[in-house]
Amino acid sequence: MSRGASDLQLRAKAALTREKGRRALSYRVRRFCTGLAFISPWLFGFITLTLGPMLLSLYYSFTDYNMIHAPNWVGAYNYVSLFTDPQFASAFENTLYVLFIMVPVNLLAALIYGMLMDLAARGQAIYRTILYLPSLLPAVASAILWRWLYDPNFGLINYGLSLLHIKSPLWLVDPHWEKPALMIVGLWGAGNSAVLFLAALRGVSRNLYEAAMVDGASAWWRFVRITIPQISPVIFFNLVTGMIGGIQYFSQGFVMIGSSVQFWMTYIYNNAFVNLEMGFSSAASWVLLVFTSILVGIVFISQRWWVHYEE
Amino acid sequence: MKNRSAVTRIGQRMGIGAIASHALLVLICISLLLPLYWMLVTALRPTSELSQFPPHLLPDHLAWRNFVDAVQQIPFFLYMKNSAFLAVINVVGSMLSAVIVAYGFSKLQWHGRNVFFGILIVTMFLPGVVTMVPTYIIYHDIHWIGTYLPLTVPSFFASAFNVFLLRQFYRTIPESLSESARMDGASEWRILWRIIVPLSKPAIVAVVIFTFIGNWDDFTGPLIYLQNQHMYTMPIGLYDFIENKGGTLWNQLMAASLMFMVPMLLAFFFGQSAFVKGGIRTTGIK
Repeated sequence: MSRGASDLQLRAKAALTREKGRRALSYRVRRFCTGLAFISPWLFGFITLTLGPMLLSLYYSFTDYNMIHAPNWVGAYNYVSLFTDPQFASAFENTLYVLFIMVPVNLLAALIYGMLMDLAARGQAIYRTILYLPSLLPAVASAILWRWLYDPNFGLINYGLSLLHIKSPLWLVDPHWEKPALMIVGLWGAGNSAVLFLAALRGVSRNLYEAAMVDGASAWWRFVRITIPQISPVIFFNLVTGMIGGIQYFSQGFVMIGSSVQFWMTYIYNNAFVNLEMGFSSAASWVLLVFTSILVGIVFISQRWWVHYEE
Repeated sequence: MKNRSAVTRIGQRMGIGAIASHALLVLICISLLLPLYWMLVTALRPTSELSQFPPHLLPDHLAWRNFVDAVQQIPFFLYMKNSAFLAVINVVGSMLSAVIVAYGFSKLQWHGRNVFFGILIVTMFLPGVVTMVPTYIIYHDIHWIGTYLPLTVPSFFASAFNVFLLRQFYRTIPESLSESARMDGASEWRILWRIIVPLSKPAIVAVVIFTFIGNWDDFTGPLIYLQNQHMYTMPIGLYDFIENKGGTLWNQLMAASLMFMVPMLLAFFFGQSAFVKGGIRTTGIK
């Protein structure tokens, strides 16, 4: 083949590739625009109702904005007063209680409910329905119901305790009993997680247990080394949803106790909508966000060590 | 032996027989049902019996008129109407927006799609509290406070959870169906509405049910954005009744709560089969 012809061939090939590239590029651009168009409702909402407010909140947290006068820059003043506010300390403590006591206890209870249902081979459908029933109640309705149950004078709970001759506490108005009272309500509603655990437990392959028993493994060993790892994805899911719910715990506590016992979110609510301290409450919100991210981040990273997914 | 679940066999080795677990479960069920039973009983108690101590397990008279009184004491029908109005708009908005957005995240291949989806996932874990304050300020500046707009318009922007649910479901639909439609010259919009949506009914019903239940139950939103009592929804109305109107007539309150719960229970039981199919299948739980 002569040099001139191969030269031409090369140039033709290059031109064709460029043309294909251009067409491919415009094809990619078109697909990009189509994709963007389809997700535009979400994207618009994200920018205007999530990202925008978050950035605004960050800005306001460095000001003293209180809806009445224009915001003035105050630097880190809000953050400093946040960490020196005893009310915040108690709100933070209450939220920690929710996260590190209520959530794990709820998780354990749901697991136990699930295991019991799994053990009871017959009638699972009925047990499942009954256990799930409390979580069907709207949060406000159940808060109102429990407020009535916890009534110090006429409530059912204190009546039951008096039958057993146990001195009955004042429950929702007694600072020592407020949080356990809320925890009992949480345990009452743990059925929805329990149903997920039941589904997961039923999915564990029996062969694993049989093989282990052939090797002489004890029941406890089988539970820790087989059951737990096999259901770990569901544990993870319930743990994360429980944590996120716990951090934002608000309406039930609010309706049952009012805003005197504060959780983080009640603290923000009070400062924002009662005191109109928008700058300060923005600072509190951002600290909450950072805290949540760290916590959720830790749980996510820890997956590598204890959550087993089917390949 | 073959059909026993695994934990049963462990349990037998551990000495906790099926009988003991049944006993425990029955105990648990009774304690879970007791509050619900009490709610029912209290709703039917005549006011005179409310303060009797010790309370009787069954009321001496069945006061059906509590239901009638409750409806008159608080603006029951007004609040129910408001709740229903908001619920319907939110259901329509979230359904439409989630169907469309989820399509963009699953059935279309485009540059940067996964980046945006990653952002969406992250927002699912965001505590809503962070945006609560500045969103209020924004709404205040555009004069939306005190209207239903902050409680309805956002539903048209597709919540991350609904999009995630639908997207997972769409991914189970074979790509070949869309491919052959594309070869016939159909636009993506047509493919979505003519092919994907009819096949996604269980997941869409799940979205509708979740949205309805979440909205019916919503307390914080109306608490922050509504100021006029005429616009209150049931959760706020009930709370307002206890706190501000000196309403501690627990029997009427229970009656009102029960009536309030009925649509939610109906929605749940009605959508249960679709619920399970759409929900469990897409969260990857076996």
